This record gives sequence, structure tokens and C-alpha cells, in this order.
Amino acid sequence: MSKILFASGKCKDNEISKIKIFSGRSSAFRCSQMQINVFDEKMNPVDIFLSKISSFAGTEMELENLSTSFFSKVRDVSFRCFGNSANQGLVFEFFNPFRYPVTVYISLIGQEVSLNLVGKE
Amino acid sequence: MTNEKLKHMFETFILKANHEPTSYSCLELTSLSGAFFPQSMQMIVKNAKTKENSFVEICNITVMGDPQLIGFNGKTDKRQRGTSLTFKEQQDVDFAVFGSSNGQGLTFNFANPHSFDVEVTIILVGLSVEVNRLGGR
Repeated sequence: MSKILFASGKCKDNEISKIKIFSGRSSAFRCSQMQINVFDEKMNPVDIFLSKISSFAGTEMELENLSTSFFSKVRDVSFRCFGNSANQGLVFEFFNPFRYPVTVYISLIGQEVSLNLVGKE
Repeated sequence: MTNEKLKHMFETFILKANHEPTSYSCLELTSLSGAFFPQSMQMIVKNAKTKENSFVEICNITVMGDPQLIGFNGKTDKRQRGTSLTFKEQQDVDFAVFGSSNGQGLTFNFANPHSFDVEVTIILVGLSVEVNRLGGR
């Protein structure tokens, strides 16, 4: 059965912003699906750029400024397990090319796993 | 005895414009009788006037106070919110069994970030199970 992890954050205009996501309480998280939705101040959908996803174990995805529209629907992904302590999270780097801030919502779908799997497949 | 046939639950309500989570945006879904074990969920959100597709923020989902979302840090702050778009299509869920009495239900906290009212429909598909499984999986 699928567990769901939500995270959201603001990306300032015309700069790179990082959003860190941690697993919950006493477990690590193995993400198998992901969705990203981005909205402007009036809550209209917009697309910004996703440059990199990294974790405790290193780079998970080098995306070369992929448009977030690719993840506007739930997509299958394969990241190494991430944890709930500092530096154990999953870090998303976004570049917002607009002249206004945007709000990013990230949904991760996957399984809760043992904490000793952090950084492993 | 457990009835293994899938059952459906539907709930539709209106969430007022620019509605931050308070007790008024808290919705508790309870089964009609016995207990309900949700297997999948879908949410349809529309502008209440124009009926155009829209979304709401999901701040928290609990069963008897137990958070059903991973990563919940004990408060409905803006860094922990998702959107109903995750449930635009039917999505498998791992929520606990909930019951038919007040306080035993599946409780949602929503925020409406829009300047218009939205109509939210929640569709749960799951199993009718024995009451002694409340809170379990």
C-alpha cells in the first residue's frame, strides 16, 4: 500500500531555491512516484525549472532545467531511501524564471522503510 | 465476518474562498455502520460557480488523531501541505480503518487558497471490516 508524503515551499523570483523533504518520525522513505505542481500568486498553474534532485547518497537526478510540467501528473521515479535527520533528506533545486514568487507543491508516493536503508536503493 | 467486497463512500461539500485551516475546514468522514478500510481515494475539486477544475490544499489527514501522511510534523504549517491534484485520479492509499462514531472518522484538514468557493468531492473505495480493527490496517 502507498504512503504519501507532502511538502511545499515558495521559490523566489528569478533565482534557484532549494526545498528539503524529510521522511516522517521513525522511518525512512522509499519514493516510487512523484508529482510536482507549481502555482503563481493568484494560484494559476505555471511551470518552472527543476535542476537537480539530491540526497544523502549524492545526486538522484541531474535534470538540466527540466520543466516541472513533466511532473504535473504522477510519474514513476526511483530514488534512494531518504531519512528524517539533517542531511538525510531529499533536496529539490528549482529555478524560477519569472518576476514573481511561485508556490511549489511536491507529492511523494512510496513506502516507509527501516532507517538503516537511508542512502540505499 | 469481513465482507471483502469493495464499497464506495462519497462526500461533497463547499469550501469558502481563502479559507485557512480552522475547525470549519475540518471534515470528518465516518462510515454508515461498522468500520471502513480505505484502499483508494479520489478527489474532484471544482470552482463552485463556474464548475471549472480547481484544487485545494491538503493540510493533514488523521484517524483518531493519528496522522496518515508521512512527514507530518505535528502542525498544519505551509511546508507540509499537498494538493488535491495528487488524488485527481484514483490513488492507492494506506489509511487506517475508521469507524462510524464521532471521533472515529477519517479527518481531513483543508485550506482553500483561491479567491472563490470550491466544491470538493471525496470518493473513497474500500472494504467494510469489523469494528475491532479501528485504527489498524
